[in-house]
Amino acid sequence: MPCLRPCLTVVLLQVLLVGAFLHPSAPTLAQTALDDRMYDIARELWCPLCSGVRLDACELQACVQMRAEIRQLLAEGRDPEWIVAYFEEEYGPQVHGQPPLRGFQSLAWLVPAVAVVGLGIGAGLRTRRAVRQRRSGVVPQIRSQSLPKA
Amino acid sequence: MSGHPSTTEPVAGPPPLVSRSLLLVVVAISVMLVLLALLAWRVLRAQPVALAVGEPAPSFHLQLIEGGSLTLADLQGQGVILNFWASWCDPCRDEAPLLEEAWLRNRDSDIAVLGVAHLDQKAAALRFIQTFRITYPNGRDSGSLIARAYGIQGVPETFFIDPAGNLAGVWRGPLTPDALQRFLPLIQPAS
Repeated sequence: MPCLRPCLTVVLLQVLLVGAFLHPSAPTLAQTALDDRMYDIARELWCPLCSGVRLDACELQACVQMRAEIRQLLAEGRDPEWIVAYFEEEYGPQVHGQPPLRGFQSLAWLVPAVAVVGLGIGAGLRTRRAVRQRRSGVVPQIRSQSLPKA
Repeated sequence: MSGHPSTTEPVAGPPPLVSRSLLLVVVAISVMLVLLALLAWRVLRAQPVALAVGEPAPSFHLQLIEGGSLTLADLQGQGVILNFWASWCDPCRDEAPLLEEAWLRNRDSDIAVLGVAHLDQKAAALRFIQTFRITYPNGRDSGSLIARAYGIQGVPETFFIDPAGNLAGVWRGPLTPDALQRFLPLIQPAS
């Protein structure tokens, strides 16, 4: 029986694979998908205890518990926007990576926008003036050159 | 051909004192500076401030985990031990029995112990309370408002508030029997 050994190997591998999937500690596809969604949301949030560490990467027990809370809220059917808003309300604005576009903190968005618009207007006006000056300076020069000298 | 040069020369009016573009740039920069100053003021104001002993303790409204709510004004006339803790904090486990003991021993002499769960989940906080058989009131600090008002640097931290509502002492780290003995007389109501 020359095919006995390879056949046994294949059967053994199949048994191992099935066993691995049926093992209670093995994550199901649904669990993995839930974890992926949990990490997607955690990536948007920041550890309120550390400085500059995202919630998905933080190893503090506080953050482990917060990730578990996100997972639970997702399992309950809450959408990501709701969860982010809930976290901001429960743990404070520091969990949000960016300042909200409302109230006084909207200035953090407004100031750079005003700066960009102001600089744009300034640059535009300066360019327009330079073009005007060039036109008013260059054109008469050419004409005067073409004119016969008296 | 004598008319040509006069038509090509720009008509020069009186020069403006300040050019329009310069004026616009100055206005834009001024607006930006004002906005930046406002933002900086707000950010600095939002920073936790270290409370000084003797100052009035910041008022708060605490939603209790068991239901109901409590404010500092509700405890007027009592000495208050305000403890910030979290279920994920190991040193908080060390001090929990001491706080419970202090509560049981002093509640009849108008000393209130109040726990504030900081950056914690309701279920986890409740498990902590059940594990350590805590019977004094505990609440969750939604939005970390109380933590910010008291300028806590971490957990555990304990604030001792006298019956007049002034801060009598702060203990950062797990509470020890010695610290408790030191601060308790400062918040004891006059009998």
